[in-house]
Amino acid sequence: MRSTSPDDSLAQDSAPDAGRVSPGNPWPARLLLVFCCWHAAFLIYSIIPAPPAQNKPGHPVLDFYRIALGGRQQWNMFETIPVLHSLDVRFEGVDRQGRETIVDPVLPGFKPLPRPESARYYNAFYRLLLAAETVPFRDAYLRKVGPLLAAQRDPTAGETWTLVVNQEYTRNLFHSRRGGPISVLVSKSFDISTPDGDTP
Amino acid sequence: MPTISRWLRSPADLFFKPEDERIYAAVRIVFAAVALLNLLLLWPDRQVFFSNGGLVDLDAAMGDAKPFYLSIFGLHGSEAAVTSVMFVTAFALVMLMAGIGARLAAFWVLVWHISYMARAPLPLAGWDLVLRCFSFLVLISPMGKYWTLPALIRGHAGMIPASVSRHGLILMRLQVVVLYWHAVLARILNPDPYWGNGEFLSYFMLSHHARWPGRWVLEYGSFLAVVTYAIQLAEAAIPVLLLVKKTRWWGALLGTALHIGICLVARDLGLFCLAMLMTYTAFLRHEDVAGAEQWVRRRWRRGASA
Repeated sequence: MRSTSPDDSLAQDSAPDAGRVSPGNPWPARLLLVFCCWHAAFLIYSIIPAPPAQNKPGHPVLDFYRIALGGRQQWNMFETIPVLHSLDVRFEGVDRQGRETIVDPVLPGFKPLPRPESARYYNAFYRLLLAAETVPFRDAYLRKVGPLLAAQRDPTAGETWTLVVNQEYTRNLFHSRRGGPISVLVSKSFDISTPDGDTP
Repeated sequence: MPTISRWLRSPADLFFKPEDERIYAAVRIVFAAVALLNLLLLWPDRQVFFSNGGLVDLDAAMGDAKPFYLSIFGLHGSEAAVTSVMFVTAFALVMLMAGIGARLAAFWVLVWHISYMARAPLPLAGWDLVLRCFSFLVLISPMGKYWTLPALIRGHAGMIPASVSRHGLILMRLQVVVLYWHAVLARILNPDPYWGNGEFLSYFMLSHHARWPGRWVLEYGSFLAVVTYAIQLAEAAIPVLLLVKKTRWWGALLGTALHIGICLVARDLGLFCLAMLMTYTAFLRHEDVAGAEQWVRRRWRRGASA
């Protein structure tokens, strides 16, 4: 480092917070070095992605390190194409007289999904309702909304509720180029009274 | 750049070589600014994602966490508690940016990132992971005193920038390499037909991510295929360019073009762009920060004399 002017110079500062390793006591430096080597090895190991089928739990110590310090290091974002053109979610209720009611899905307060879709809401509802690995979240959500809907509606109306998920899947480019829409609608519904049994 | 054999002989040289503290300060300030923006954008939805009355069930989140659940929201999940945690985090981020009580503030910021990611895994996005990793690396890095608000108020009287250990910067740079190359290797080891045949970007531009989805995308298939391949080349090249001193600005330029390009064609991925550009500050060198400071001082003096 050059020391030509105050603007361009660096002090060999030995203040504790400055990150200098004290020459008097080598142990902090040794510990820091061991930790840096470990974390660097952890990062280099993380460059290689796990095979897709390997979703089994890892070593508990390494998993703890990932959660508490190192981070999950899963960087395979957009590993394949995003298949959904749009996603819409709502509750549909039908009372004894056959009258239909629509209620929005965002808790608390049954607020509508923000439009245009935000990445967070899209991720939340896609994972909540459509991802295979997050079924406990979906079941818990459906168990929670049943009593909430009953509490905010007329209990004498005898409404039955269904969660309807309208997904527009992007069509294959080859077919889209030959004509027709660029996406197709696929609906999926979940019965609120028996949330564990979904009815696609 | 030291040779690999030298690295193997002496990792201490690699991690403890002196570095300008202002580089750490630049990372700290930009990181805190982006993390604060992320928090501010989460603020309106805090009850939806983090409170017990929201979308994400606490028991399911606890069951999903492996090997165990680590979140301050586990202590209390009321709306008031969520608001309080986020308010304290906003304060900590401002303190971190200002360099006041920076180590304690960085610790809280790490706790915040671990906590909200464990409490609400469903709405997480790529930029959360980037901020989470850097919150730890900022915590273990030298904080420095030169580019802090107190030093600025005192006019840096009697101060010159300290020379500090560069271990934090080395780990940050390695983290950026992992980030890009993991994505590249994932496509090589588990080949995806759409990245391979160049159709990825066409599908992306028709997806819910796209800012302007429509039939027009179908007419530009060849162009979008070229861009799909260019993206993959850029992701492989950016870390190398950033690491080499002579080409780091080309790496930053290429990365900036890539991420701003994504931000322009995609809806609501602006924070990912900012989080990735934040990581490039770890590749700054002494002459960059010294030059930037001199430029600001000159502008300041010119403004004061005028």
